[in-house]
Amino acid sequence: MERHNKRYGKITGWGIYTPPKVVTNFDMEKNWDTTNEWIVQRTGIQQRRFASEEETTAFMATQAALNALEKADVQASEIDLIIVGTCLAEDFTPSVACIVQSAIGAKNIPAFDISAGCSGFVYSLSTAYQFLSTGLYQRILVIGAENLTRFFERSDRTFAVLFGDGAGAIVLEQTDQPCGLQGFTLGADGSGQDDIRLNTSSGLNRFDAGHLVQFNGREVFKFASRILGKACDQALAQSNLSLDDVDWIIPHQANIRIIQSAAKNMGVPIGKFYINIDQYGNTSSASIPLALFEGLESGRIKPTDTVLMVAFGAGLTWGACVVQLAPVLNPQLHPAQHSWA
Amino acid sequence: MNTEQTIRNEIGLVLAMPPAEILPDKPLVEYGLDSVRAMDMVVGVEDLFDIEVEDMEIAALKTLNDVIGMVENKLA
Ligand SMILES: CC(C)(COP(=O)(O)OP(=O)(O)OC[C@H]1O[C@@H](n2cnc3c(N)ncnc32)[C@H](O)[C@@H]1OP(=O)(O)O)[C@@H](O)C(=O)NCCC(=O)NCCS
Repeated sequence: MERHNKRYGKITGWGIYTPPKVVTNFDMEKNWDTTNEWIVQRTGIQQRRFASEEETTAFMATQAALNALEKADVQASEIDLIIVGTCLAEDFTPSVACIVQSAIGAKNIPAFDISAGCSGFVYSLSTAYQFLSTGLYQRILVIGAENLTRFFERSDRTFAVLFGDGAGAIVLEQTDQPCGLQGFTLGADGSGQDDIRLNTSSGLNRFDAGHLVQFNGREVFKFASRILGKACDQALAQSNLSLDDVDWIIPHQANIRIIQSAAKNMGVPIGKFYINIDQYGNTSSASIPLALFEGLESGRIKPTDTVLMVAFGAGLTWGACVVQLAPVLNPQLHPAQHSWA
Repeated sequence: MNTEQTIRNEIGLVLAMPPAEILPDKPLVEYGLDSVRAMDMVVGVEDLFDIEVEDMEIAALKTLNDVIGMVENKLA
């Protein structure tokens, strides 16, 4: 392969939107038969954000996108493609991505959603990198946005305490500096389709449907605590890297106990995982870009770090990707990348 | 490592306590086992011994000895 022709992709901008309404566990106690103690102990969640009626999935996605564009110093007119990972567009069609395109003022560029449960962002990012590496597109907006609290009226307490709303976006730009996606894995097991289901099938209006949420927490927990490590291993093998080459694992924030269980099974110290579930709950496809943003902005994640993003969710789906955020000038740090030097 | 030691180590990891301190007949709940840690324990034991534990069986796993008995039964 002609190395010098390889097209690399760098994350040049990141932005988020989180609804201002903070809902603590104590607030949850008022509407649900639950306790702060139960929620903290079983999930690690302290609070989450609730979107208002105006804060639709597309609205949040748009705000996150605008923030990411500003950070990257890129105009909407310079974007070539928009991909949104989400479980929950406002309508069956149009896609959230098309609404975002119009709202940010981009014109005629392709825009589409990817539905992969909570793995939506990792699916979207991996897809974006494929377009980038062919050279077809140079600047891509990748967004994860969710508004799952809309389902709460039709769910039970076990489901309701877990989720929160929000959106995160990144701008991915082609570069000839060696960095970006080192390797990835995506997967699905449709035989687990009933383990998490947001049912829309019993009426045209999705909110008319009875028993909207079907959720087998135990099965999902077992699946997740296993797949997290497996997906990491696969993405690392693809990258020709080991865990030692990775600075941070950014897992989907579904339950701190899933992350702890996976850390135990992987033999990795919990401190290697970036965790912010306490603040936002499970924001599905938004959780990884929210964590990445927070990590980068706080300086805990360094601009040249190598991060391993790993997600799992309804479908069942999973995915992991190893991303070197910026070129590392000392090749000693990453022996596997000697070939580009 | 024998079955008992393997299970002891796994439960020690799940409960974040020294494996040797787990008394065989003391309820694991008293060491901090809850329904989520029980799932964690079951995932570990299933993978270590390549067995399957049904959801209904989990409630009966109250002590270290219960877990050892369950595993030995499945391996027999
Ligand atoms: C949700 C989850 C924390 C529930 O834990 P669990 O141990 O399976 O909980 P169970 O349903 O067995 O319930 C345990 C007890 O807590 C009670 N309970 C359940 N939800 C509760 C709540 N929100 N508040 C208070 N008590 C609750 C149950 O009634 C049960 O009580 P009992 O022992 O008296 O019967 C866990 O299954 C999980 O994390 N699953 C995966 C998370 C997930 O799917 N995320 C989405 C993937 S992207």
